[in-house]
Amino acid sequence: MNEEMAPWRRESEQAGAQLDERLARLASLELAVSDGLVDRVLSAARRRSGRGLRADDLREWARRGDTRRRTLASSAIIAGAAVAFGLQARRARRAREARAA
Amino acid sequence: LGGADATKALSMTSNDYRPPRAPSVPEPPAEVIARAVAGDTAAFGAIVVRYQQLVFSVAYLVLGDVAEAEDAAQEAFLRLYGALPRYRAEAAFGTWVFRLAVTAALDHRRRLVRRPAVPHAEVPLAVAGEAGAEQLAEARELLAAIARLSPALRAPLVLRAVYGYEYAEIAALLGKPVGTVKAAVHRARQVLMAAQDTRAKGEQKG
Repeated sequence: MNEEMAPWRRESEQAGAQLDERLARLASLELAVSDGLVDRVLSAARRRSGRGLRADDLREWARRGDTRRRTLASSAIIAGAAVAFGLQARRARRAREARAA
Repeated sequence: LGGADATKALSMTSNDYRPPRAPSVPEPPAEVIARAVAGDTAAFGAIVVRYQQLVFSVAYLVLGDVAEAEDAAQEAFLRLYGALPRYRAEAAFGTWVFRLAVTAALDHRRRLVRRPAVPHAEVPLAVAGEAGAEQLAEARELLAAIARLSPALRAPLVLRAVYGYEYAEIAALLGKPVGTVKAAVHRARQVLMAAQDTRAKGEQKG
């Protein structure tokens, strides 16, 4: 029985060994990275150093079509607009109060 | 297993642990490392340029998606940036970067399990490590087949069959029992062998 199975088993073992060799070769494979990675890393590193979120980061994420970050960026823009709107409303109220006084 | 746990799992091994097939990139000059450790952004940029392909390749193999791999690579470099002040010169710098790349990719993968990514057919081009065009085409086919594996099979396979980690190390990194890791690697190899077989039969017909 074992002798009958031997050719099949040999083929399977050869295929397995061939696959293992191909997989091991991938370890030395270096894949091309998009040009922007270094800039993204450096700008993110600067942000983490305390320089804050910059408008060009938001534009870059939108340009790259990064949905997750674009959503974050949109949220940041909306939040910024809401703060600006709030400030404007407060200024208008103060002006009204000053006029009334 | 959380990010801190994955890092802890790796640090259980030697400080300078290097799996058998971890890719090797020439170390940056000690002076560049020292400047980066001291907070010089230009020196850090030089380090990113030197290791970007290695870090991205690890992330792509683990995640199987170009955009996610870029995000994981960025995260790995930011961790490196944050950890630089703690770097001690007795550990090989490249080994340290490789370990950060692996843990960042695995942590990113865990976040993706909660928020499944849309499978991406794009396979990045290889720029080094393979000699001929035929080998390159073969590698791209294999990369595409690995990218099609489920995340539960892909990471154990890559860590074991590509980088040569021990099963116990993979189990610690993934927070899974050793038996589960072995079964995942076995299943992944079966899937890839079936793909290899289909390809061979197609070539015979062609």
